Amino acid sequence: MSGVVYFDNAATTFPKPCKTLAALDEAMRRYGANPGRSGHKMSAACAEKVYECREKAAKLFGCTKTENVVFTSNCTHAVNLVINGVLRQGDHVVISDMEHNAVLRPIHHLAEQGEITYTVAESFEGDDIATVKSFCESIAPNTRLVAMSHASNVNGAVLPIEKIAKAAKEKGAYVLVDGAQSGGVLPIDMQQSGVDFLCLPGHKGLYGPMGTGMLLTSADDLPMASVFGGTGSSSLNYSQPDSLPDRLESGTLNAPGIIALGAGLDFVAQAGRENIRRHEERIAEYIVAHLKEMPRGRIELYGAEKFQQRRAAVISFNIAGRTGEETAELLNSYGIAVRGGYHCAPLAHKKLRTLDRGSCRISVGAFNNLRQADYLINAVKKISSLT
Amino acid sequence: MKKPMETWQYLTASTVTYAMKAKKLLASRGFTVIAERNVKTAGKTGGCGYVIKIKGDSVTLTGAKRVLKAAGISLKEAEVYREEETEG
Repeated sequence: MSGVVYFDNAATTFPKPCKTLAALDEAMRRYGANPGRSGHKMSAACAEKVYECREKAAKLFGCTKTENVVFTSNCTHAVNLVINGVLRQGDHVVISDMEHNAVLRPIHHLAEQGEITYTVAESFEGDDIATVKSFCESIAPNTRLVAMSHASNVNGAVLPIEKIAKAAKEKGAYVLVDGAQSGGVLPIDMQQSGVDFLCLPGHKGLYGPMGTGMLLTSADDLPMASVFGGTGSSSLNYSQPDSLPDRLESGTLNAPGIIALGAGLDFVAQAGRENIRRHEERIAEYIVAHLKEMPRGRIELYGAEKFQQRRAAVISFNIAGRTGEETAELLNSYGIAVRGGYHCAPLAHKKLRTLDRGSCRISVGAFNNLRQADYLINAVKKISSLT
Repeated sequence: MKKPMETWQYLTASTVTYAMKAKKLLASRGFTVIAERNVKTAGKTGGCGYVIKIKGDSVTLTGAKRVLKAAGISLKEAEVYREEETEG
């Protein structure tokens, strides 16, 4: 098989759709001015293209106000905007036991500074009632925020965000969802779900370029700015503008990236989010089925059983006697791109009992096919027979 | 031959996002509308902002404001600051 066989879509999707590439090229050539700063035609045209991307994102995720779509440099940036803009001295936060460092580290940092406290709620895969109960029991009178990954970046496990959000809001807490692995794949409707803050990467399931991300919020007055500066608006005012998105968008935007992200959103809309999910699920289930057929004790899978909307197309496994990094390195020698290690998610590896060797992660994207899956499966078979 | 005079109504918008939102909404309702930088009175409105130019008279403006208000676009974000007749 020629070229790279790419199964590292949880890190960033590859390849990107042709329309994303074309939009990026066009943006650099035709919309090269700074949007929302100057009054000339190119600046105005660029601002319009940026606004169109806000509209597309708002539509895809059921965000009622386009101005509540805030562009960030990535999902982690969006998460930090919320955490640093919402939490106050003495607040308590609940996070899940599958969190990525994007959520864990900013929360832990504030806790280390003595500003907040936090509780890690246990999740029970396949048992929503137990998971919601666990979150409810973790919520305290001073809990201001419940922050959780929609789908784990380690093994794709999905949290019942709507049910947890309902419980959290009944207790007066805001709800942040890290949609890094679910945006563009799993259904998320901000109006239906009760999610206050939806943080998304632009470069994963939304098929935009790296360096793009978004915060979508249904809360008008929050969060407060944690980065201050020029917005192209109200320039005589020494204070940061109150209104979104300017409150949270200081400095020049990544306009070419955002315009290309708009094309990525078009791709998802035209292909159909549900069609993409089914396609990824089919390939992931095919891979899992073959991994499970391998000789007993040679392959260890971490949670990958049924997909069917209960799991993003992310598979974590280990080969007996090897670390996740070693397996990934060996697959690389076959021209296969996967990720090994700890995937920036220490809580998840603690839960999965893989802190000693991490795991090898296969993550499926819209452009993978069964032929690639067969190549990957055969490579894993060969590698597992070596040890 | 001289073109007929056209009347435009002006609303201010504090940010480019609100300007774009108002422009798209009004255009979708049949208004002739242009969003552009506030080049004349930005100093009186906080500095650096946008204007929405709506083609028509004060009745047209009233209709436009009604549409904006119904869509939750606050008039605080877009207040009338002048009317002007220009040659089309």
